[in-house]
Amino acid sequence: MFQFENFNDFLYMGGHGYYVWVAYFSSLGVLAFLLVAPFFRKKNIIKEIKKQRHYDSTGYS
Amino acid sequence: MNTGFMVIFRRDLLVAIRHRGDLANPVIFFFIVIVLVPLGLTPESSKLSEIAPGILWVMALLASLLSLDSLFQNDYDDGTLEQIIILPQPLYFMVLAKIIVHWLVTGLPLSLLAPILGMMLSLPDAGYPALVLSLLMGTAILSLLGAVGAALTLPLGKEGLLLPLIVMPLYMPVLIFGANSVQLAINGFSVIGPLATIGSLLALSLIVAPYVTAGALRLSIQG
Amino acid sequence: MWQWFHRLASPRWFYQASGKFLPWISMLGLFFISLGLVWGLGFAPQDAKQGNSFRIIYIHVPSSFLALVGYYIMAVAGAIAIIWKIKLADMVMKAAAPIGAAFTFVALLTGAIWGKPTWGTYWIWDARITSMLILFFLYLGVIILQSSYEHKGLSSKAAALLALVGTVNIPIIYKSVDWWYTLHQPATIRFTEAPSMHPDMFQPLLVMIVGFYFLYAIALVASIRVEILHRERRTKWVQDLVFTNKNNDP
Repeated sequence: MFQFENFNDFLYMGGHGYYVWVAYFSSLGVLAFLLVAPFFRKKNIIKEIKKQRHYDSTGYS
Repeated sequence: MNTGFMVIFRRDLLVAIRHRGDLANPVIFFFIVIVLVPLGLTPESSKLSEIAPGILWVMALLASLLSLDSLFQNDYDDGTLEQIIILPQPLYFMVLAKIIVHWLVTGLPLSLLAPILGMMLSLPDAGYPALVLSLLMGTAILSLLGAVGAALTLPLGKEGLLLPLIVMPLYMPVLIFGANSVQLAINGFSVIGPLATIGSLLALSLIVAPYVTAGALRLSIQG
Repeated sequence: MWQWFHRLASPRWFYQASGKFLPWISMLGLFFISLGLVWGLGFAPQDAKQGNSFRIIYIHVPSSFLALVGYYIMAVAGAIAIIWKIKLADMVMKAAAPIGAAFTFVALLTGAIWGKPTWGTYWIWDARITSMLILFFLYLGVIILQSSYEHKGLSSKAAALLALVGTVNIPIIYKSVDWWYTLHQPATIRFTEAPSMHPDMFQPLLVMIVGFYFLYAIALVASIRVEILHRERRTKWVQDLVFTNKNNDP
């Protein structure tokens, strides 16, 4: 069963709220970055490949 | 295989002796930083003697680290190393020869001069034998493991702090057992255990390190 | 038989196969992490001595596991790359390095934040934390060595060799740091991972560990796919992929 009386208590974490939430948010932030970064790298690579095809086909440009 | 070893050994020793200036560098560094410690901390004997074992060992380690460049870099730059690698003799022994010469001109002098620095840092009497013994074996291990790092970073040139970063985790167990053996001696405990551990690390490194170094050197000329 | 083995090692095969199962492991991972987070943060009981800061364990322990496992994955991939010269293995190693380092960083960070309310200090030189810090340096070494070689246009087999050297080193480091710590600290401060954890606390931990394994797998596979596209960008199959496909999912 839910360990806290209400949402405020949940945030407060018995006085340890700062520690718990900073720990969780920063860690999940780092891990989320790990998951999202390949997304953006892939977009960049596809852009690069398209640009390269453009250069190849039009000669000097 | 013996001839390969002796040739490289003699040659490297000759080169080292001719460059006597380079020889002095690690030892001078050792002295200088030992002077920095009391200046930065305190001249009090009692405080210095508490930290002396650790300081001496850390400084010896840093001095050893500084000297690793001389191991392969020059030969790599002028193409001699490549010639050595493609020789039919087992590379293990020629690498071992280089490492032994390196130790003879860096680790050995350091270990023998350490008692003087120990005295300057108020090292308690009981610590001296352990200091010299641990350093003699320990610096040999540092030369062996340092060679692995030096070989791995060879094609990269002297790029900043990469070599220390790679070599540090390898050095840490040696530092732990070395410095703490001295501390144990000072506290009256037997040092046979830690020294034996250092000895076994030395044996392990003697077998593995030249082999890995040779592999890394081969990779370095492949590009 | 070798045909199968070589097909397995083909980057193209990996790209196409992983494209199919990546959505599935992403969903599974999301499920386990969400379940673990809600359970651990809201429903698991707090610790008798540490109170609610104990909940940090649900991130700290899984990331420590993956930090260590991730190193071995990286090293094994590196070994395969240099022994059998399989390019895909090289890509796995390259992808695994920063991911493992990130997990190690998270483990150190959560450990430090957990330490403050528990021991009164953010940092403490105990055996486990010190070993984890050294593991972080091992990762950094591999990453920087890798990228330095790549920067010069050389192959990064040396990084694989370094990773292998590290695997031999890890148990030695742990043993020596452990010995060092027991030498200097009479065991007054014992790390709070008591082997007997109440099941109500242990179960969400298990869920989070599983979820973190999925997280690692997702990050690794996604990263490898990107690396494959990059290295094989001049091949016909990649060109076809770029110029006929519209979807951009990793």
